[in-house]
Amino acid sequence: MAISALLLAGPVAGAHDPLTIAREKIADAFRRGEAARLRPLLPAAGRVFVSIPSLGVRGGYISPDQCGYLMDAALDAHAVRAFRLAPVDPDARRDPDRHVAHGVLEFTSPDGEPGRIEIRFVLTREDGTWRLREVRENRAD
Amino acid sequence: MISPSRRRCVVGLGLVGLCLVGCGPAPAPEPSAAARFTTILAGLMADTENAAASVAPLRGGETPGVAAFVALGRLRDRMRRSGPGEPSVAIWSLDGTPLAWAGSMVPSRGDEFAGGARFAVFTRAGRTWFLSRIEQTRRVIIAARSFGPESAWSPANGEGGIRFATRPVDAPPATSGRQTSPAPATDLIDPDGRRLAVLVSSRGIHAPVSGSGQRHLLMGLVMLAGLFAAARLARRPDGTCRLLVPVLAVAGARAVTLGMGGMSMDTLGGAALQGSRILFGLFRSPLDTVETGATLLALAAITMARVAAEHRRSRSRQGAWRHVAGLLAAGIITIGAGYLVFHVAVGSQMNLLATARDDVLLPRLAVQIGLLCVLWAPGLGLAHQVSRLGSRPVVAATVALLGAAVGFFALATLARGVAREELIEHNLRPELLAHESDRLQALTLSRRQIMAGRDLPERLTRAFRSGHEDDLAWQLWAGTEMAREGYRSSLEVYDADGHLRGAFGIEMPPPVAIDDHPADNLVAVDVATVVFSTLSQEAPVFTSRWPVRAGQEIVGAVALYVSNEVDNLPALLADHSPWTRAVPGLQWPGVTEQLGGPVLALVRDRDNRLLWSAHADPPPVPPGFSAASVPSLGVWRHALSGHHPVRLLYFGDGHRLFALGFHHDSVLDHAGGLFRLVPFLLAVGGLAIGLALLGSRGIRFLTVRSRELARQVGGSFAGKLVVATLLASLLPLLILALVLRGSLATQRRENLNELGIQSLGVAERVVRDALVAAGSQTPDIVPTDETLFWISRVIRQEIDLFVNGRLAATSRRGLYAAGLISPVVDADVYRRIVLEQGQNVLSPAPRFDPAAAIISGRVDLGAVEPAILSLSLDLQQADIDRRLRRVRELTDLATIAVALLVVGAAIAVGRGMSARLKTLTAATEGLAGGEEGTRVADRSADEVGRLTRSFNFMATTLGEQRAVLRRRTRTLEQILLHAPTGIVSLDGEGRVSTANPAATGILHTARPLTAGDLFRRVVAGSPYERGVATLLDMSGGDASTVSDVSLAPDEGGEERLRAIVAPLPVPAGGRLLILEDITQTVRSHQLAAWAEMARSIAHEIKNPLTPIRLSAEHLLRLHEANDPALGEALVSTVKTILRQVDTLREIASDFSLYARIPALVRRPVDVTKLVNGIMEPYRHSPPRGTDVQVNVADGLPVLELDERLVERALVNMVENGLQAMPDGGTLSVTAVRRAQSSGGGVKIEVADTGLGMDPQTVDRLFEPYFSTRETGTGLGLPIARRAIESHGGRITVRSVPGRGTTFVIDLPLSATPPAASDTSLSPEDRT
Repeated sequence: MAISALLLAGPVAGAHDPLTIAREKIADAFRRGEAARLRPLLPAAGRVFVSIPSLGVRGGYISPDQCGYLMDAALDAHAVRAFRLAPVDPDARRDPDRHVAHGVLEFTSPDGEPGRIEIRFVLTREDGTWRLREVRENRAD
Repeated sequence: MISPSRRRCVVGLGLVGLCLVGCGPAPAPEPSAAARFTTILAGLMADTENAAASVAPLRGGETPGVAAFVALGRLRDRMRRSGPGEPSVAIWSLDGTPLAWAGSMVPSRGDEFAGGARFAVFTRAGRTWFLSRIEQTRRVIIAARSFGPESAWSPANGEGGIRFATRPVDAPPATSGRQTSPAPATDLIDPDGRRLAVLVSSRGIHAPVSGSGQRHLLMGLVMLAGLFAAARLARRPDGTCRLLVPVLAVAGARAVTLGMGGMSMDTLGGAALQGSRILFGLFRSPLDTVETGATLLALAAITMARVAAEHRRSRSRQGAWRHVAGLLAAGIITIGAGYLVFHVAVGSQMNLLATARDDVLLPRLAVQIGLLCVLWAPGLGLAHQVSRLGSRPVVAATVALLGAAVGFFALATLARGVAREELIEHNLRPELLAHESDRLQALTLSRRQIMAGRDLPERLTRAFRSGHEDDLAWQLWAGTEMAREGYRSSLEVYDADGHLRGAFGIEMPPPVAIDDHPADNLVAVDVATVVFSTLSQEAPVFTSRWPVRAGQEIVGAVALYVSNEVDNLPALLADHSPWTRAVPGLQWPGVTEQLGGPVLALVRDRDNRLLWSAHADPPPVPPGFSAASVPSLGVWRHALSGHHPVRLLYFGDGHRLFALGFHHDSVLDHAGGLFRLVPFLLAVGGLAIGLALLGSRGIRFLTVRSRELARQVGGSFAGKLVVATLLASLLPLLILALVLRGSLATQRRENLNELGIQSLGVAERVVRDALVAAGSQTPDIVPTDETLFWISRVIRQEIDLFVNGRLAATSRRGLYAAGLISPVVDADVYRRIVLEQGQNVLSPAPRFDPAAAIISGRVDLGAVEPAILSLSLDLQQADIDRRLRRVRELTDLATIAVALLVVGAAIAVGRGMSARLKTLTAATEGLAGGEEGTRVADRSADEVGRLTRSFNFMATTLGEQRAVLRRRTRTLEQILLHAPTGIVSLDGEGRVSTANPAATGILHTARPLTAGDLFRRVVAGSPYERGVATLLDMSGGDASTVSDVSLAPDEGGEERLRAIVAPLPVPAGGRLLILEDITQTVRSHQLAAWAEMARSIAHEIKNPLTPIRLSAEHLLRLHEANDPALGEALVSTVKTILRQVDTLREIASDFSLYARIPALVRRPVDVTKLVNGIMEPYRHSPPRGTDVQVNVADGLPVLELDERLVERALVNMVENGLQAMPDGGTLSVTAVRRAQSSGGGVKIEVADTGLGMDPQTVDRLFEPYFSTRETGTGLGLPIARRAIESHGGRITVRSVPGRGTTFVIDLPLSATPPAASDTSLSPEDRT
C-alpha cells in the first residue's frame, strides 16, 4: 500500500538511459513471469541478495546463476497477475551508482490463493552497467 | 536355479528401479508420524508427570532456598536419566510466581497451562518445550523437557487426528512491568476434541524441521551404493553393457525430473543452496550434486572396467601412442572436471572446506560428496593411465580418491577465496557505502507500512484503554521493515495528550519520556536526525513521528527511531547480534558461513580515527590510506589483527574510510584444513567404496577380503612393523592430543574467567560511579536500563543486573521484552553467588547461543540479597576461541605430522627391511630350486646383514656338498648299472622309484622295471611272483624290519634268489629290495654241506666200524689160534659188533629222518594240552637241581598241526635246555597267544639258565651234524626247525653266554610253509 502511493506518481526519469532500460527489464521480467529476462541484469561476479519468502525464496547472498534459477522456479510456481514498478524516487537517488526500485507484484499461489507483495530491487552501476544486486520482499500490509 | 545371466539381469533391473526411485520426487511423509508423535507425547506426559510428582511435598517452614535447589538438582538428575531431551524443573507458588528452578526452563506465570491444563507444549527461541504441572499443598511443581530444532518430532497439522487451533495467549511477563504482546498459540486437540496441550510460539518465530532432507540424503547414499555396485558388477565382461542401462536410466530420470520442472524448496533437494545451471542444472541442489557425481563416477568406473578388459585382451597390440592419447584425454577431462568443481564451489553458499568436526550440515556434506565424485571419476581414468594401476582397481580407486580429495581441497580453497572477495567487493562494500541511505529508506518504508494500517487509530484507542500499549508497540514494530532487516530501532506510542504510553525496540537506548511539552510529541516529523544522549554517550538517530487521527481527532501518535550509528549494519553484522542468535528461525542474510567466519569491519573518520570496529584488535591503517585517498571501489590489503592475518578491502566515500574483510587463512590454516578435510573425504569415499562392495559382493566378500588383508598385513614384516609402530606412536599421540585439548578447554575457561573478572570489576565500578553521578548516595537505588545501556556502550558488552533473582535492569531490554531471554537469573548462578556467597560464576548463556559465555558476579546494592551483575563475553570469547583454535590447529597438525612422520619412517624402515628379507627369501627359494650360484650382496652389519652372510656361507657349503653328492650319486649309478645284484627302490605305494637292469634280469620280468611302475604288476608273470609278493607282504607289516630270505621259483627249480627288503628312510615310506641270484652259491653251499655231511657220516660211520673191525680181527685171531677163549670172546665181540651196528642204524635213521621231508598229518591240536602233556613228566620228575616251570596261557587257539612232529621239536628244545644245565638251573616253558597284527597263532618259548652260546655257535646251531656235545648227532635242532617251518612257523634263538638260551617257536594260525626258506633272524634274535 505504501508503494502504491508512489505508483500513482508519474515517471521522473525520461529518456531511455541505461537505468531506465534496466528498470524496464525488471518490469518486463516480472510482468511476463519470465525470470530469464533478468539474466542480462545479473552480475558476472559477486552475489545477489534475494529474499522473497512469499514466493518460497529464502533470504541470502546467492550466486547470480542461483538467483536466476530460484527466480525462475518462483515465477513458474506463482502465476503473475500484475506487476507495477514505482517511478524513480528523486529523494532516494543520493548515490549516482546505486538505485533502489520498488515494485508491487500480484500473483496467484500454486494453491490458488491470491497474493500481493512489495519487492525492493537494488541496482548498482558497475563498469557503466546497471546490475541487479538485491531483490528483497517488503511486507505489503 | 537361476542362471548367472538371469541373476545379473535381475540385479540390473533392481538397480534401475533403485536409481529411478533415487531420482524421483521425495516420498510422502510417513503416515506413522502422528502416531510417533502421539507416542512421544504420551511418554513425555508419563515421564514428566512422574518426575514432577516425585518432588517431596514442601515441609513446614521450608523456603525455596538451598533445600529447594538440592531437591531440584536431584530431580534433574532423575529426569536426565529417564529419557531424551533437556530436563528442567521449576517450583512456583500457587499464584504463579517462580520460586526456584533448575535447568534451562523459562520460569513464567504458567500461562501455558491455560484452563488448568496439566500438560503444555510450546515453542520458544527455537526450542520445543513439554511441561507437566503438579499442584501440591503450597506450590506447583513444573517438570519440563526441551528439545532443540534437531528433534524434528512435531507432526504436521491434522495428522493422526491431532489438529491445532490457533488462539492468542499472553506471553510471559517481563519483570520491568512491561506487558509483552500476545503471541500466537496453538491448542493441541485430540480427535475427541480434548485439548492435550498448548503450543505457544514465541513471537511466532518457529523453525520447522523437515525430515525430507534426511530422506533425500538416504536415497542419495542408497543410489550411490547401487551405482557403485553396478560399477563393480560391470567389471564382468558379459555384464558391462547390460549394466550401462541403469546408469543411463539415472541420467534419463534426472533429465525428465528437471524437464518437468519438479522443484522442491527443501534443503537438500531444492536449489536454495546450489542453484547452478551448469550442465543443464545437474548441480542444481545438494542432492542433484550427489546424484550427478555418483553417476559420473559409475560411468567412469564402468568405462575403466571396459578399457581395462580390452587392455588385457589386446595387451600385445597396445601401443605407446594409445597410452599417451589416453593420458591426454584423462588429463583434459580431469582439468575440465576441476574447472567444473571450482565453478560450482564459487557459486555455492556453503563453506565447502568445513567438515563434520566444525558443523554437521547435511547439504554441505552432500555437495562435498558430489563434487568429490566429480573429481574422482576422471581421477580413475588418470590413475589407470598414469601407471599400471588399472590391473588393480581398488588401488587405482584409492589413489584416485586421494588425488580427488586433495584436488577438491585445493579447488574449494581457491573458490572460497574468490567467493569471499567477490562477496565483499560486490555486495557488502556497496551496502556499507549506502548504509545511511538504507537506514533512512528502512525508516521511511516502516513509516509508510504503519500508516497504511487503517485500523491503527482503533488499535491505539483499544491499547490505551486496556493498558497494553507495550504490546501494541511490539506488534507495530515487529511489522516494520526496520525490524525485518534487523536494524537497531524502536517504536514509541503516545496518547492524545502526547504522553509516552508504550515503547518497544531492539538495542536502542531506553525511551526517555519528556513530559515538559507533551504536545510536541504530537507534531508530525517526516524524517529528522536527532541525537540520543545517554549520560556521556551520544547516538545519532533517524526519527519519524506523526499523529494518528480518527477522523479529525488525534487519538495518539507514533514515533519511529532507527540508530544511525555506523555499526547499525544488520546485513553485515547480523551474526554478532544477540537478537539474531536468540532467534534461530529468523532468516538473516548472515554471511558467516560464506566467509568462514565473522565479517571484519572498520570505520574511520577523515583523520583516520577509529569510529567503530568489529575487531577486538583492529589493524592499523596502511600508510597513505585515508578517506579521501582510497577509492570507493576499494583496495585489497593483507593486514594483521593482533597475531591473526586478515584480508581487508579498504574503501572510502570521501568522509570516512571503511574496511571490510575476513580472517585470512594462513599456511597453518590451510594445512590444518587439508589434514582435516582430506581424511574426512577419504573416510566418506572409503565408506562409499565399502557400501558399493557390500552391495555388489555381499558382506561375506568384505569379510573374506578383510581377513585377506589382515593376513597380508600379518604375513608381512613391513605391515606388522607399520601397524606396531602406528599403535605405539598414535596411542601416545592421541592421548597427548586429548590431554592438550582438555588443557586448552581449561585454558579457555581460565582466560575467559580472567577477562570476565576484569570486565566485571570495571562494570561494577562503573555502576557505582554511575549511581553516584546520578546523585544517588544511597546504594538502595537500582541502576536503570539507561545506565546499563550507557555502560554497555562503554565496555562494549551487554550487561544485566538481577536483584532478588529477577532482572532489575538491562542493556538489552528488547530481548527480555520479547521473551527470548529469561528475566530470572540462572538457578546455578543464583545458588553459587547468593546462597553460597560466591564471588563470580562463569556460565554458558542460559537461553541462546550456548557457545557464548556469561560471567556473573555479586554487587552489593544494599538490598537484602546481593545483586548479580552479568556480562556477556561475546567479543572476548570470540578472540580467545580464535586463538585457541589456532593452538588447536597447531596441535592437530603436529599430531598428524608426527603421526605421518612415524608412519612414513615405519613404512620406509619396514619396506627396506622387508625388501632385504624378500631378497633373501627369493635367494633361499632359488637355492632350494637348484640355483646353486645364488648369493646375496649385503654388507650391512646388522642382523639381516649377518643373516645374509650366513646364507651365503650356507649356500657355498651346500654347493660343495651337492657336488660331492652328485659325484657319489654318479658313482652309485654306475655301480647300480653294472652290479649283478638287482636293486629296486619302492615308494610308499609300492611303485618303482629306481631299478637297475640287473633287477629286471634276475626277476625275469616281461618288461624292464621303470620308475612309476607298480612293482607287483610288473613282476606278475615272473617266476618269483608269489615269492616276491609274500616277501613284500611279510615286510609290509613292519617297516623297520629287514627281511632277508631265499626265494625259489614258484614252479620249482634249482634257481635261488636272496631277497633283502629294507625300509627306506623317506617320509612317505618306501622299501629297498635287493635281489641276488644265489643259485650257484646255494649249489656250492649244498655241495659243501653234502661234503661236510659225507665227512660227518663217514666220521660217524668210521667210529662204529673201528670196534667192529677190531672185534672181527680179534675173533679171527682167536680162531686162527684156536684159542679156547674164542667162545667167550665170541659172545662179547658179537655183542660189541651188534651194538656198533645199532649205532650205525641209528645214524642212518637220523640221517634219513633229516633228509626226508616229512608228510604232515595235520589235525586240530589243543596247544595247551600239547604243551602241558609234554612238560608233565619233566615237571613231576625234574633232573636234580633243576626247576621246571611251565606257564601256559589260558585260551590258546586250536591249531592244525602234526602233533608228532611238533612234540618232537619241543622235546628236543626241552632236552637241549636240560642238557645245557649240567649243574642245574631253571627251565621255563611259556606258551602265549600271538598278536593279531602278527598273524595270530601261538608263541612258545623254552628258556634255560644254562651255559649259553656265543654268536658263532648260534649261527651254526641249525646246521646238520653241528653239535656241541660229544654224544649228539647234530641233527636234532635241524630236524626241529624243519618240523616247525613245515607248519609255516619259525624258530628263533636268543642266547647270552653264561646266562642261558631261549628258543622261540612261532606257530601261525594258518600255516603255509614258504616255498623255500633258509632262516629269518633279526639282528637281535641272533644275539
